[in-house]
Amino acid sequence: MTRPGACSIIPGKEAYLAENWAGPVPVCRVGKERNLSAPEYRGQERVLEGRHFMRVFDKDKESTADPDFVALLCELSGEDVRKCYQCGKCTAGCPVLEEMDLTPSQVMRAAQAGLRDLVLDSRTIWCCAGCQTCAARCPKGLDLSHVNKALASLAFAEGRTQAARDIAAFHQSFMDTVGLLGRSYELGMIGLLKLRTRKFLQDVAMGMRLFAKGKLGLFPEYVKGNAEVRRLIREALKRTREQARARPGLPQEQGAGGEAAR
Amino acid sequence: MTIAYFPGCSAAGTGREFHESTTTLCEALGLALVEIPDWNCCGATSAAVLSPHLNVALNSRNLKQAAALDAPILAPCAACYNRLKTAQLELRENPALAREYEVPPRALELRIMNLPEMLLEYPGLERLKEMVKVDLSYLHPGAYYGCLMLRPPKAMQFDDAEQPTSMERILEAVGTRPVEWWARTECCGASLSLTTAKMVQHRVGKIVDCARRCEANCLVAACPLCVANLETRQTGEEPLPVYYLSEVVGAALGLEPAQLGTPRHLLSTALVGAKGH
Ligand code: SF4
Ligand code: SF4
Repeated sequence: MTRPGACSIIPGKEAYLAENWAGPVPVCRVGKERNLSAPEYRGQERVLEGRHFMRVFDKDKESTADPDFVALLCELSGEDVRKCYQCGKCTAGCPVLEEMDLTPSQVMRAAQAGLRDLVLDSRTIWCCAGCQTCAARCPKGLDLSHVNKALASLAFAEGRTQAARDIAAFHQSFMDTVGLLGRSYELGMIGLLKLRTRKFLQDVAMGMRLFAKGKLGLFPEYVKGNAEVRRLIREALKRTREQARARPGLPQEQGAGGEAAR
Repeated sequence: MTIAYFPGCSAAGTGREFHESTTTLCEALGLALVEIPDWNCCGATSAAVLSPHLNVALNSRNLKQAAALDAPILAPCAACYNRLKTAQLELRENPALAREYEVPPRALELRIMNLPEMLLEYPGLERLKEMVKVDLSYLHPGAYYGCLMLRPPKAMQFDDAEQPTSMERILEAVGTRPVEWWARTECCGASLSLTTAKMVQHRVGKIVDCARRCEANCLVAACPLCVANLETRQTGEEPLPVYYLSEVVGAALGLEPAQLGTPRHLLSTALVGAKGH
């Protein structure tokens, strides 16, 4: 069911209130008018083009709610996700909205509702730049970068990175070099990233310019205590996997995360 | 005055001119920078994505290494500053965690400073003003703070998170004319630059556009990731030059551009309007 109204996020835009699992949620409408309640959109995830988007949720399809999920997320993120009252301030100021499928406040609402598949498979948790604009503004003092990153670490531990393989590969490559050397090393990290994503030509010209300026070290610096750094990384990853496994709803023998430490 | 220096990984790479200008400037200010022995990566934007425990794990080691020097820490890179400070706060609030990682109590008391924070105190604005040798009044910088120096405010406790003034105060003290603009604390897109370049281009475009409309003739920042993004992701014919705060302050004090790493910039390799440019 949709009702037209004024958008609460972008002034002057027309918006719809879409009835879904979370009650009415304001969304913007751009482009062609669509009847979001038409049968062809039921359960379909992305119906609007461009920067402003929404999901139409099908109550029956999203019936896999996990009631323990919110507790696990609170534990992992250190943020009391239950406190969020959907004011939307985080979404209003988020700089990477255009890359996201769920808005930051929708992630919060979905997590509260225990919709673990929806949030773990969303692109938002990977796209969060960690800018903490939301943390500075949330009236409930919540830091969504902690929430998004905790969700990403869970998705990573479960090996479900399909929503943003490039971004996951970037973080993994970065930590691989840190695990190896104790420090990050741009050239090595970029090499690993290109191997993982197979996008060999992207930004090569930029790399040459940096190189010419003496800004891409040919030889990595490394830390004498790199074995200790490796151990610290391995243990942190192990702890996350154990926390995740201690809760129901996870496949038992998973864990793609941790190549950095192995 | 001894300062424990945490250069950060980018000091050997894309942020080389930041490292060079910071060390040159500190020397001129009579501050003895001592590099923290065998420091490791702070985890930057990646650690927390792999595990929420990684930030404290990695930085507990850094804090332990710094404890030996027993001096205030300067972490010029905004990401390093943010991660070190966040980990220190978490360890302070959770003594059991500090014991587990064997972090000595002394390490939890060490002051951690970013570059503007340090300059405001060592040497302070008055002294900076006295030391100025070169007239930089032709520079109208847009002071760009980005994210990690200011946010989250409850952990950073540095300046006002929405309306900061520290960089402008420093830039004014050294004789430049910082402009008033609003995109100062907008995110540049951070480490998404390598994977979602379009989005970062869009962010950078907005920031630069705002600075231009407010009549800035350059941007001044204090974070190697911000500068890398602002320099590499600007499109358009006439990009706005980007400098580090340490470079501009150093130039005002009469230090040589080569020592300040200025020729290493991708966009403008001399302060705009400088002689011979
Ligand atoms: S700003 Fe805070 S309370 Fe408001 S929607 Fe976002 S997380 Fe929830
Ligand atoms: S921390 Fe993430 S969710 Fe919060 S405003 Fe920044 S990008 Fe958006």
